[in-house]
Amino acid sequence: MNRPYTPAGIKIFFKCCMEKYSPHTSENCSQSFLSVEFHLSPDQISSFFPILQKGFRAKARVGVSVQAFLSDHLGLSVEYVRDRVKTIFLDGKSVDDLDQTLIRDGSTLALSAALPGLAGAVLRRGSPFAGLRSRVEERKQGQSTKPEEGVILIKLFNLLLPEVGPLLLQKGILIPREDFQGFWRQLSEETWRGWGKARVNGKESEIHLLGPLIQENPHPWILLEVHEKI
Amino acid sequence: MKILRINMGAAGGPKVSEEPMGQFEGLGGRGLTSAIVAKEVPPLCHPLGEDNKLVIAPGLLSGTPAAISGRVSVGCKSPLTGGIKEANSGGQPSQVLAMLGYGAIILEGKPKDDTLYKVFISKEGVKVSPDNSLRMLGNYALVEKMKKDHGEKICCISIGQAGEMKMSAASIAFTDMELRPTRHAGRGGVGAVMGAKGVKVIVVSDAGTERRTPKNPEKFREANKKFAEGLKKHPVTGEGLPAYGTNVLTNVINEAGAYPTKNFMWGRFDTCQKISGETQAQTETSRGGLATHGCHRGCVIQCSGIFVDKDGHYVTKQPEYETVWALGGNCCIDDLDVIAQLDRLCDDIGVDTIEMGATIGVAMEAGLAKFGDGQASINLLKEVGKGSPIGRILGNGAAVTGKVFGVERVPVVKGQALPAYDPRGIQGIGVTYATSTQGADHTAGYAVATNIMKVGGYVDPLKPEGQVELSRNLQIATAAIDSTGMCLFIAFAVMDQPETFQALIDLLNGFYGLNLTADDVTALGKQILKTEREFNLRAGLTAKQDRLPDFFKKETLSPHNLTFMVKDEELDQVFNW
Repeated sequence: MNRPYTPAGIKIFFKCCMEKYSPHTSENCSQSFLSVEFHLSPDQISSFFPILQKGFRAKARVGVSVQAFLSDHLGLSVEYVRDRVKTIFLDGKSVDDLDQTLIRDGSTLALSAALPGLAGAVLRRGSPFAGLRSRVEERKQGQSTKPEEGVILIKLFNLLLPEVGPLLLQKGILIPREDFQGFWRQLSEETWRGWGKARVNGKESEIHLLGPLIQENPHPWILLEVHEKI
Repeated sequence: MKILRINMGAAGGPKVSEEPMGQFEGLGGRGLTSAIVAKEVPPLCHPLGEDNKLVIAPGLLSGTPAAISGRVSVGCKSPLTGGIKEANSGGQPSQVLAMLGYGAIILEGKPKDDTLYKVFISKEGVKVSPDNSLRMLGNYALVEKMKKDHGEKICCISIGQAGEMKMSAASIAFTDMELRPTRHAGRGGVGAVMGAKGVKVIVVSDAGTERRTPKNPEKFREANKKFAEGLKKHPVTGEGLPAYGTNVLTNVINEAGAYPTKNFMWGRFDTCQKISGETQAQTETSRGGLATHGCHRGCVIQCSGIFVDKDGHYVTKQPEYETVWALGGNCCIDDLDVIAQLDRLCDDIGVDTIEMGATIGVAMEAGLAKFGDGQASINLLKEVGKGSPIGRILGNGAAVTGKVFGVERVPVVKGQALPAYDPRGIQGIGVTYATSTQGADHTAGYAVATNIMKVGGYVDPLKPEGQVELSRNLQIATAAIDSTGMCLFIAFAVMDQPETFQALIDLLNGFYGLNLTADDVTALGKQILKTEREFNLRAGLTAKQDRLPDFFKKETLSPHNLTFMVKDEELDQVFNW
């Protein structure tokens, strides 16, 4: 299997993250999110994958092709995308042509490996069974527009979770506070008891205090970073 | 190979006979069940009457060392659809029956009274004995009793309470590697037909059995090696399915807006990630269950698993995508523990999880329970097992339930509930649902290797009119694969890797000493469909029944706001080859 990330891609993605995210293009949200940080073992990091399935937001250049976004923003290598990211949805519609399909402000981009069954075959990129999809489905989404800044929702599924997820979590993802609260409620105490401490807005916090702390906090967004424990 | 025939209505009690395969030589699985039903069952007979027959047939390669060849087909006239039925299952019995030399078991006739029978099959012979102590046992308790009576070197084919009560959603259970009744020939009410024959359980002993030997061992061995390697190296069969099971589809079908939610009202379920394959696998492994497991020996894909509760106790096998959807998203239930309990109940009572999920969805729409109420779903399903009046209505499926409670949105074709892909979201699947000989069935057009098999030539995937041609080709290919005993999940590896498809053909050729080509496989698929279509026509199922319910044409499905747009005249062209 090809490596998911190009060295250059990691740098680009890292730069985007350092610039921080905004949930809305028009909003300067440098103060509108709460930063929550964990340092965990690889096994523990996988507990956060449900968040990636539901989706997280990223500030990015929009008006660019899906391929450009995957390479330049997420830092995925061309080979990895070609061989591994076999099923892609933009705003709920299957994407076949990564170079012609454009990302727009507010788009939802979902990434998956190849899937089983007829539905898996039908929805796969470049499928010989694409004709079984909806007739009104656009073959090339989006109009050509000038690249500009925007926010998109990214979802990660199945095999891509362990392969791409940890690096995205390490660099930080932006999610609504209620999504984090829902995720936290789902986690059993047994799961998070061994996690040590979290950092909230740069300050250490006991893990059992995290739930109440987030409940009390007025920020609508959470910038979540999960690092591999060294 | 030989045919075991048990006449349950013979004078003086059940009569057992064996006969050579005769005109059915060279057939297996669906090809064999449909050929026997078409030849021996009067199409207009009552499905629960003495003239219907229940045919259980291992695949052509079952009982051999061929990888993933343990599927078994069950055929009859369906009490649910009124047409011909083939429902298939994994589990151990297919391999053992084939090793004992049986190409098919035919249960025919009908006992004169309501005595329940147990059939015991071993190398030494076949014994049919009355055993009313088995009455109204669930499949789990029944199998435990069989283990006590016959030891653990057995496998079981059985019905639960639903089959005994001849409910149209009743399934037939096939035990898995752990001797649990978790694998089911679910669709079409085949369990009701077994119940009508008065047979509660068929116990098959594998003592002293040996693998079937190929005519050309070297060619067979080489082909099997290549075939298994092909499955293991493909990302779907070698990685995705083993890691997440078929439920890996939940997130993606939801993203496509084709995930039927709230009894087919919406195309997306907001909290679907709580019940996705990814979450399911993580839940299983974190609790000490298994996310990677086979349903029968010789499976190299291992798409199943073991679902345990929070304390690590066994609940059920890993529920499949269609089950999680039917009992989960379709009823707005996003709790894997509730879904696992429902799955366990379905397996125990012996009902099809797809039919029951669709039925509970219709019942919720009728106001019998609130959408999202897991406990209410569990209670409704328990009523089915008890055979209470409401349970008997539900146990006869979505169509009956919709009729009784005056619900218009009833997702069925030919009386059988639609599976987990909304035809407004993926229109071509709707073509297969509408026109399949089996009623709405996602596996009827599943063998996505048509390009490799060259079924129907090249179809432009971007041509809108291609849906009819593609559906036809898929149905032909699937009918052929269903005859081999191979799991349909081989389809992806076969589609993408020509050498894996060739290895499949070589397995058949190596075992039987034949020189089959892809064209022969296609011809077999066509012949099966032709046989099934002719039976259905004589049973009164015409093109008028090859339709989706009206609401798919009238109600738009969010988020893409689509209706089903394939015209009736186009549907009528599917079998016009």
